[in-house]
Amino acid sequence: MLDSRIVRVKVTGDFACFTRPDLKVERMTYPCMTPSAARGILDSILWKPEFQWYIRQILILKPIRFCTIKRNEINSKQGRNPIVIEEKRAQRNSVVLRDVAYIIEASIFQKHKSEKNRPEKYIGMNAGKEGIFPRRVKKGQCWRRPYLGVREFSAEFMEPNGAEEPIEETIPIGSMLFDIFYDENGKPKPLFFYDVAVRNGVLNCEVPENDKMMQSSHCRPPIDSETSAVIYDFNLQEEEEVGL
Amino acid sequence: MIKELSELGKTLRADRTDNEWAHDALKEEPISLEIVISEDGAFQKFELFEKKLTIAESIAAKKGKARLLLDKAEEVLLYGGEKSRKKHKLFLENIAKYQDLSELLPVLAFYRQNKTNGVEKALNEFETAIPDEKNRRGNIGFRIQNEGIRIHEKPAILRKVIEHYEAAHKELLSESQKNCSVCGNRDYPVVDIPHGMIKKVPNGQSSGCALVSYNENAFESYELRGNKNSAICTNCAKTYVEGLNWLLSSGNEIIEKSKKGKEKKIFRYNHRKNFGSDTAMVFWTRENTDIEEIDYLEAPNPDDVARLMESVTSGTERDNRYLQADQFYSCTLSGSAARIAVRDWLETSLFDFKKSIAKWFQDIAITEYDKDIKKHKTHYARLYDLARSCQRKNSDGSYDKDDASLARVAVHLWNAALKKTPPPLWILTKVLQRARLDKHGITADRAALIKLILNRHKKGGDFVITEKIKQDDRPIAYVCGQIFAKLESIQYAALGDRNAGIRERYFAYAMTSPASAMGRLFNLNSKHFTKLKNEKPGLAITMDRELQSLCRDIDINKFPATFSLEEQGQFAIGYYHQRQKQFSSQTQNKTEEE
Repeated sequence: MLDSRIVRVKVTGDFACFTRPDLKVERMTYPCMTPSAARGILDSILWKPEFQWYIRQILILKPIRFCTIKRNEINSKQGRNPIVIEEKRAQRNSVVLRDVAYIIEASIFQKHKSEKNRPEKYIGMNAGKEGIFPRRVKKGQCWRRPYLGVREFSAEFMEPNGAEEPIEETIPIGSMLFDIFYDENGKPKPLFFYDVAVRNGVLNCEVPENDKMMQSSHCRPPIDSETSAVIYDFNLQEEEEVGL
Repeated sequence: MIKELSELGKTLRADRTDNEWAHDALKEEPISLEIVISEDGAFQKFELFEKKLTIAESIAAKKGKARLLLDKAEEVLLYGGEKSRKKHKLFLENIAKYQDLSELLPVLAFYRQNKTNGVEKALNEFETAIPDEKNRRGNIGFRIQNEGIRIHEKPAILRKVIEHYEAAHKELLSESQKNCSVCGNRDYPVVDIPHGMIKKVPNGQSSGCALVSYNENAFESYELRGNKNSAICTNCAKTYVEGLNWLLSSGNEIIEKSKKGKEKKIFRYNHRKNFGSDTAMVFWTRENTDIEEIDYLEAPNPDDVARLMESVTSGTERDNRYLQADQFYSCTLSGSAARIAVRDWLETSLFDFKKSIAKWFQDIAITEYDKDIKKHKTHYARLYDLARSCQRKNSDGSYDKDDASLARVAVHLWNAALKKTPPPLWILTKVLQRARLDKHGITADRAALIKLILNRHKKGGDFVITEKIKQDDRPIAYVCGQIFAKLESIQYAALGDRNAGIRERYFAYAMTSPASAMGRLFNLNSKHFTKLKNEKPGLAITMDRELQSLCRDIDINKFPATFSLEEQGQFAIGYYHQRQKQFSSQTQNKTEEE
C-alpha cells in the first residue's frame, strides 16, 4: 500500500554520472538523476525490508552542465587473485555532470502493513515524534555514503530549506533507465520508461513502470562474496584453457 | 542520443525508396575483385576494378564468421595456406546453407565437382594475376561469365538471405521477448551481437569503432552478458549505426584553389565539423533538413548574419510554433582505439538553435578598420579563426602543431555557439597569453573572442563590452587599455617604428600591474612628448588633448595595483578599440593635410 505522505530530501554534489546503459564503456551520463539513483540514495539513508521507496518526482535545482574527464581504469572485475595493472589497464572517457543539486520527493510503499510497521515509524514528520528517515536526514546519518551514480562522486544530503526553485527548462531525454526489476527468482531485469522529458525542471516518476517496481522482489540468490570470487576465478581459468 | 540516431537511420531508409533491399540482413560492402566462372564451375579469370559498393549479407562482426559469396581471399580461395583453413571452412559452411538455390550451382561446382579447374586453379593463378599485394586484400565476389550481375546480388539469393535472417530472429524472439531500451517495442530481439562498426571516426582505427561495446566483463553488470547490457534491439542497432555512418561520411568533393594557384580536391562534409585531428562534431535535424546556419559559423557573411538576426528577432509566435516542430541534434565524438568516446551531446529546438547562432554573432561582432575602403566595418570572425587565435606560432609564422589548444578551444566554442553558454575562463587566459606574446598582439579575432567571453561571464551590473569604442561609463581597466594605446601612438609619432616599442615591452606589465607600469609609461611619455613637441607641435597638441580626455575619466593617482583576469580582458578590449579609432583618425588627418 502506498502512503500518501511525501518526504523531501535535497542532495548536492560536485560531480555526478548517471550512466546510460548503452554507453557504459565510455560513460555518458543522463542529463539528470535517474529514479534508480534516487532510490539508491534514499536506500543509503534508510533501508528496511518492510518497505520500499516510491519515487514521485525529482526536482533539478541547478543548470545542467556537462564536462568530460578521462581516467585510467581496469578492464577486469576484481576477483580473488590480484590484478596485474600492466595487463588490464585502459583509458576510458566519461561525460559527467558538474555542480548538481536535486530534491527527491518520495513516499514509502508497504506490501504488508501492521501496527508494528506503521509509516509514521519511518517517515513521521510531527514535532517530537519524527520518524527514522527525517531524523537521519537532519543529523546527516546514513548507513552507507550516498553517491551520485558512481561511488567516487559522493553526495551531500540535507533537508530542503524551502527556498529552492527548480530550473525553468524543458529537456527531452527520450528513453531512460527507470530501475532494476528483480523477479520472484531474483533475476534482475532493467526497466525503461519512454518519452521522458524534464518539464520545467521536474522529472515526473509516477509512471506505470514505477508501479511495476513495487512488485520487485529485491531477492537475489544467496551467494556470498567468497563464493562469488571463487566462481569468478574458476570461470576465468576455464576461459583461459579454452583459449589455449 | 541512440534513439535520435536510430530515428535518423530509419529516415534515411525511408528516403531510399528506389532501393528495395534496405533491410537489416543486408548491407553495402566494398568490392574490388571478381572471380569469373563458367556455368559448370570452371575458373575463367580474375577481374580487378576500382573499389565500389555492393549489397551483400550483413555481418555484425567479422571474427568467427564468413559473408555469403563476398569475402576476403583467405575465405574464398584458401589463400594463405593452413592458417586460412578455418576461415575457408566457415565460408563453405555458409554457402552450404543456401545450396538448395539454383543460382549457387556454379559456385558449388567451383568448390566440389569441378574443384581442380575451379578453386585450385584460381588459387594457383591468384598471385600471378594480381601481382600487387594491396589489391589482394579486397573483397572478392563471384560472377558467371557473360552475365552482368554478380551472383550474390541476384534477387533470389538476397531474398533467401533475408528469409534466413528473419527465421533466426523469430527463433530468438520465441526464446525471450524484451522491450528495447530505445524504441520500447518487442518486435525485434535483444541479443548479444556487436551492433556494427562506425567508420571515419577521428583518431579511431581504420576498420571502424564501436559506439556500444561490451568486449570485457568489466563493462557488464546485473548478470547480463555482452550487448544485452544496452538492451537495444537489432533493428535499432542497425539503424543507429547507419545513421552515424552517414553523418560522418556524407558530403561531396569540391575543387579549391590553393594560394599557389593549384587546384586541389577537398571533401566537404555536410553534417560534420572536424576539430583538430582527434575530435569531430556531427549534427542533424529530426526532419533531416539542411542547416545553413552551421555554415555561417565557418564562413560568416554580414548579409546572411543580418538576415538571420532579423528573422530571429522578428519571429512571430506562429512562426515559433512551426519552427519548434523540428529538433536540432549535435554530438561530439572522438576515437579511442576501437571505441568511440562521446564528448558532448546537444538536443534543442531548431528555433532555439537559430537564436543561439544569432546570439553568437552578436557576441563576437567587433569593429575592424578596413584599410582598403578606409572605413570601419563589423567583423564576424570564423569560429575556426577564433580558436586558432589561441594557438602558438612558430618563429617562421606557421602554427605549432604540437599545441593542442586549437581542438580544445574549438570544442568549447562550438558548445558556446550552439548552447548560448559562456566559454570557460581558461580560454581567456589562453588568448591573453597569446596576445602578450605574439607579434600582432590584439587582433580582431582575439578581441572578438575576449568580448565573447567577458560578455557571457558578466554578472548583474557589469560592464558590457560593445562592438566599438564606448565613450562613457567605462571601467578603469578599459580606460587603461585606451590610455596605453594612446601612449603607444605618441611613441610612434615621436620615434617612428621601433623593433621593441612600449607594446612589446610594457603590454603584459600594464595589463597585470597597472599602478607601477603606468608610472613608468607616463614618465616615458613625457620624454616622447617633448621630442614630438619640437618636431610636430600641432600633432603634439592634438595627442595631448586626446590623452587628457582619456585621463579625465579616472583618477590617475589611484591606479589599481593589479588587474583580475576579467579586467585584463577589459584592458585588451580598450586597447583594441582605441587603436581602431586611431586608424580612422590617422586617415582623417591625412585627408586634411592633403
